[in-house]
Amino acid sequence: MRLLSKTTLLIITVSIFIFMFGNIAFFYISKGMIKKHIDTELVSQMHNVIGQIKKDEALFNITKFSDEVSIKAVHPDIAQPPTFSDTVLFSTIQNIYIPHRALKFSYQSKSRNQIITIHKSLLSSDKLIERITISSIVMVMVFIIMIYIMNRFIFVNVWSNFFSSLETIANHDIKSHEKIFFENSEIEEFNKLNSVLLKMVDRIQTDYQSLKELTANTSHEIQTPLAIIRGKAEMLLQSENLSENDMEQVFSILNTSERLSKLNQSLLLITKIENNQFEDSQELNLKNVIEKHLNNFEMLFEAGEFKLTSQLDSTKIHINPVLLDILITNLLNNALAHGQKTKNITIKLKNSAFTISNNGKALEFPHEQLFTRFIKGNKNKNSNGLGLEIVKKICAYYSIPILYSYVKSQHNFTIDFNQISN
Amino acid sequence: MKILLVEDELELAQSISDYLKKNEKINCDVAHDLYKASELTELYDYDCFIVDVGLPDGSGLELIKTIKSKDSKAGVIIISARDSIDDRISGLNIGADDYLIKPFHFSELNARIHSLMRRLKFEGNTIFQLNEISIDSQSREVKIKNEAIDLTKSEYDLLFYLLTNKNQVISKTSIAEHLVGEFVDALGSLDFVYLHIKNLRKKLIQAGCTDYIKTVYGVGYKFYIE
Repeated sequence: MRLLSKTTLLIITVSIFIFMFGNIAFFYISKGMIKKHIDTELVSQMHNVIGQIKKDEALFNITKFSDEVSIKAVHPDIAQPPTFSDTVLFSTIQNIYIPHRALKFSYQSKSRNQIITIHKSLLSSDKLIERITISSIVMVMVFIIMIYIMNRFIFVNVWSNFFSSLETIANHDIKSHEKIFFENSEIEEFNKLNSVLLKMVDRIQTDYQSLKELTANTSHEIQTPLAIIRGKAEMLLQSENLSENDMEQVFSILNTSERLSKLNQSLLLITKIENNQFEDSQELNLKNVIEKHLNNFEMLFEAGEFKLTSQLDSTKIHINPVLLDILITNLLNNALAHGQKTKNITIKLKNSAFTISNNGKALEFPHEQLFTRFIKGNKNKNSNGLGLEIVKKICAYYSIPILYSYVKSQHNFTIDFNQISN
Repeated sequence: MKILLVEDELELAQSISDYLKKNEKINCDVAHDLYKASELTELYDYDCFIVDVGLPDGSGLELIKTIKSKDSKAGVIIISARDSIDDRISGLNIGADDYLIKPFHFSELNARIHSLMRRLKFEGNTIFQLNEISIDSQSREVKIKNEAIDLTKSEYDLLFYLLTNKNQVISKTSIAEHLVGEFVDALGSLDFVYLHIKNLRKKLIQAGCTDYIKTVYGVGYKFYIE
């Protein structure tokens, strides 16, 4: 959920609750106030009636003093203190029951005792409350809409620096040597956040660079001693005095150092790709390059009893020839290392898309890790786990997409060369 | 054949020259820096130069320029750990004949030297005779006791590789890399080396050739010829 949606939702929920309770309270409070008001009116009318009766006792003869006042003669012993009550009276005019407030009291005059009841219709006040409630609900709704608009407005204004910082950091490439730059904000907290981010990114960048340099330097420095070990082992192999067992040991040293130097070269290659050291590109026919490599691989495919089927369309692309060689051979090496014997290896080049497929068991790890350093499917001791990472790095270098899929026990790698093709 | 090896790493230079000297026809001098290399170049005539690019007192490419400017017919092979295309191209542009990436198999270097020497020296006469085997490196024709035999391209390459490294133990990994090239990660499947050796051996024996190819158990092969 986006920050704006979240805050808007929260504000609206909270305000709906507040206004709902507010409205209910308002309803009861105004109802109570109106009742109080009517009661005072009834009391003043009571005094009014009593005053009038005192002046003119003849009024007793009228049973109906007015529409609202009714008088009933009762036994002199009965005394009724003034009492309020809610009643419903039938209106013959409107033909409905109308809620009323009534005040009942007894009055002992010189001649007789009577109970007087004063009624007051609540119809108009109920209507009033209804209207007030409706208008307050409408007001609340308008208010909520206003809050929504205001929130958006404030949001865009207050958080704009935050979002620009977020954008900056999202678009920043840790691998680049470029310094990150944040816009200055009026808001202190955002400036603080920016300075913290700046420090962190700087730190990560220097760490990344030094780690990369370390890898590159180590790899480079290791090359020579490795070459010496290899050389010595190779010379030792030529010795006449070694037993068969010794020979095997020496060969093992030779082989291991060879693996180590391959690993080293791969690491150096990755560093070179990351440092953009393969700038010059040429126009090449991808079909010819693939065919050249298939030629080299032919005897390996034969020895592995693979059935190779290829269908290649002529495709011209702009690419660094060394990187293309590495890209194609790494994919072929991968198919060779992980393909199943006597099964098909299929190579297709159509509409600038290159696909290589080989049979094999499903991956034992999530396929997102497929292009990650040192992830190895099988325990093949000769694979250094860098081949596919290099493939990925080359694709990333040219921003060409590479896709992996596993369909019908076939691993498929597809590279779309469209972006760098003619 | 006189070779000058220019390599700053003493240990490595020693091993390479030891390996090359195993071939009785090769005489290998070693220079560890540009200065010494220039001095030796002034004093002697070499048939082949093996030059490392990164030297303590300059670039090996400078030396190659000097050699080539003297209109020398010598062959030049660059050996360098730097496998970037720039080095390779600039090396070949200034007249180097071949390029080998460090680290390499000594048997590979040996084979490269031999094929380069064959290309440069024996203009016209490219026949190379060893007992009953005769190889024409121009037409890639192989004869056993004057009878031509039919070899595939890789069998021919294999035979040539074995012959140039005769009487040396050649590891199967070096054969694999020689046959399939630097890009192929052949280490995982060395069976094809065995397969090719088997086929080649069969064809040679069928043609009446002595079985010179000896298996060095677990390691590789040796082309054993007196």
